[in-house]
Amino acid sequence: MAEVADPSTDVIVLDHVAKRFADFVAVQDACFGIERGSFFSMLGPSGCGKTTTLRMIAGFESPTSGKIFLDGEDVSRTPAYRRNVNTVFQQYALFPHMSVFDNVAFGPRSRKVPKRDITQQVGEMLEIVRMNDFATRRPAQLSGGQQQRVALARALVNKPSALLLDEPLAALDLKLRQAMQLELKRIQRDTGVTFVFVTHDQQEALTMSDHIAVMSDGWVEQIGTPAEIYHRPATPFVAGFIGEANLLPGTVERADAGLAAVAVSGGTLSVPSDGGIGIGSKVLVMIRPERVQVGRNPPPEGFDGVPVLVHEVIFRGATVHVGITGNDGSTMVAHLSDGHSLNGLARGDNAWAAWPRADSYLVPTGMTSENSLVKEGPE
Amino acid sequence: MTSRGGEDRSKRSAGIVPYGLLSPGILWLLLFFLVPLVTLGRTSLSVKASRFDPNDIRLTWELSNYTNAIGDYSEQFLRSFAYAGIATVACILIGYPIAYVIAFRGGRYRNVLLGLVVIPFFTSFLIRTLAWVNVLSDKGPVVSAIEYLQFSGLLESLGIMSDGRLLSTHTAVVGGLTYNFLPFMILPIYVSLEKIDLGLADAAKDLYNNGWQAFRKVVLPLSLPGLFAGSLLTFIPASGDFVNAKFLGGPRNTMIGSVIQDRFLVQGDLPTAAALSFMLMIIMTIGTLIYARMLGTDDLI
Repeated sequence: MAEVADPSTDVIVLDHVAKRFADFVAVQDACFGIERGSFFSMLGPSGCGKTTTLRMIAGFESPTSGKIFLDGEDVSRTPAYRRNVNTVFQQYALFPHMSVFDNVAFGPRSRKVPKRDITQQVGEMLEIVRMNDFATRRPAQLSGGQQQRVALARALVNKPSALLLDEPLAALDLKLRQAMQLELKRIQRDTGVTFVFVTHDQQEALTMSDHIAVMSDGWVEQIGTPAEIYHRPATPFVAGFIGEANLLPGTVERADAGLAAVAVSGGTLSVPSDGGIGIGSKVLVMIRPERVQVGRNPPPEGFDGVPVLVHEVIFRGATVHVGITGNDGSTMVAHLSDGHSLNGLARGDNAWAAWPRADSYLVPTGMTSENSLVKEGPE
Repeated sequence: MTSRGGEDRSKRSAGIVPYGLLSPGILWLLLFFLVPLVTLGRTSLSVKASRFDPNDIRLTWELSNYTNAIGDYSEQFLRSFAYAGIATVACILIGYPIAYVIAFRGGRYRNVLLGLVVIPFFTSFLIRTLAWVNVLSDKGPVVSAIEYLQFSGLLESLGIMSDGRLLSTHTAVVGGLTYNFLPFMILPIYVSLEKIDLGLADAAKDLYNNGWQAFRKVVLPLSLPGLFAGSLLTFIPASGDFVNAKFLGGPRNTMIGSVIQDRFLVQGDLPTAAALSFMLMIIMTIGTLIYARMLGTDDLI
């Protein structure tokens, strides 16, 4: 689960970091590295420990056990003001009694940068976030998106080893949030600074990140590229949390080279497997809704499928969402690209759900009971 | 036509309503502020017309009332401002940390702590001051303790005690003022601190400031409006106060409030008393404006 950290390419390394508060454990044994110059996201539902992890990197909390390395140096006990990381806070935390210019100049002034350089650096940074026309304004005179840009400039002007962002887009409305996602990505590319981004929005994380750490209940469930996390989830939680997923509980019957036979209700499926899965172990077979086809005939060669009942057809414009029920009562969803591929099937018809074998994926369940795991990811 | 007429009427009534709402206040200010102010101004420029009836005065534009008052009582003026100033600074030094702790560390005990600040002040001002007479008296607990610990020599050389006494010294007067006006300092500071997002202090620390620097650059400037209000609520009544000087001070600790009270009520010298009051008011107004400019509170959101 934890990736091996490489100090030569990683700007931040967490070494068995845990954080316990009086009555609960916020972060359990986090062990990963963040590559220099990358866009790294920590993704998870609220209370999963992502913000606590970020605050430990920033220096606002100290780990109960384990070590945090920044630029190869152990900073676990270094106070926030001596760490070369800067934070963009959720509510921006701009100083209301200072102009935009003074807000951005706050860090350099505190570090006793010569006056001439400050004027130049602040000007350049306001240019990058496109706020140079607002230098004399007070934060209260700015819109949410503009405050966001000032908060970014105020942090980035210090040329931090890493920029920490704590759900910075949560306070913006949808349109602005989508624009700021692209804007953040542009600023990250332009400045080359490592971004460590905390969010509960999986779409946001998939859109922006080079790497994502998915967290749940204090544990890091999986770290990988957005594609890896989407297509090859390591745990049932990741499979359910990232995007929508059909998860069929089953038991491994046979494990041959590259292919495992899994008995599910409605038949036996052949699922790609890299081995290492024991016969008799409980697993989930994951098929993304956009891979599922619904037809009258049993699956052709190279496909797998189960007999189902069509119980709902929802027209969504570009796609049609079909709700289908397996013969054990479990529900699945298929996203079809247009209405014609339904082949005239309607609500109440018996049909076959089928998918290309290569598009199904085996998710080990570990200790978890199999019945509670059929769920759909958040929209 | 009808709609325009309706619009006109609503506009007209909207123009009148605010004045209607303001009128009780305006009337009140006219009756109880402007009229007395004019009367006081008149009195301060008059002479006594009768030796027996203090209310029998004649307006003669007597500016010498002011020059005489300054000549005779400049010492009491300066002493009042010095005492009130020291008491205000003491209130800030004692009150700010209290307000800070209640606002940021009070948690669920916040209201209890605020209650503790206010509850003693349910007793009358006079009673509390008289209680201090007992506390500080020559045979009282404080003086006895100082004598037992043999600190009196040290305290006398520091000018805190004189002739082995605490009562009838400037220490007692300034102490009494500080005690009496402390809540008026704590409460406004608390109100302005309570509104500050502590995330701002985190942001300052994130930008290379230690705890003290974060306080000085962010929390303190944002609490200046409260500090300003508290200072006014302390300094102004303290400078005009005569109760503390009368009960806790001696003849050498007379404040300008005592002089005014004495002139008005004991000697019946209304013109001089009025001139003194007027000057106190003018000095306060100018002082307040300078103070506001210095703190830059007019610049704060």
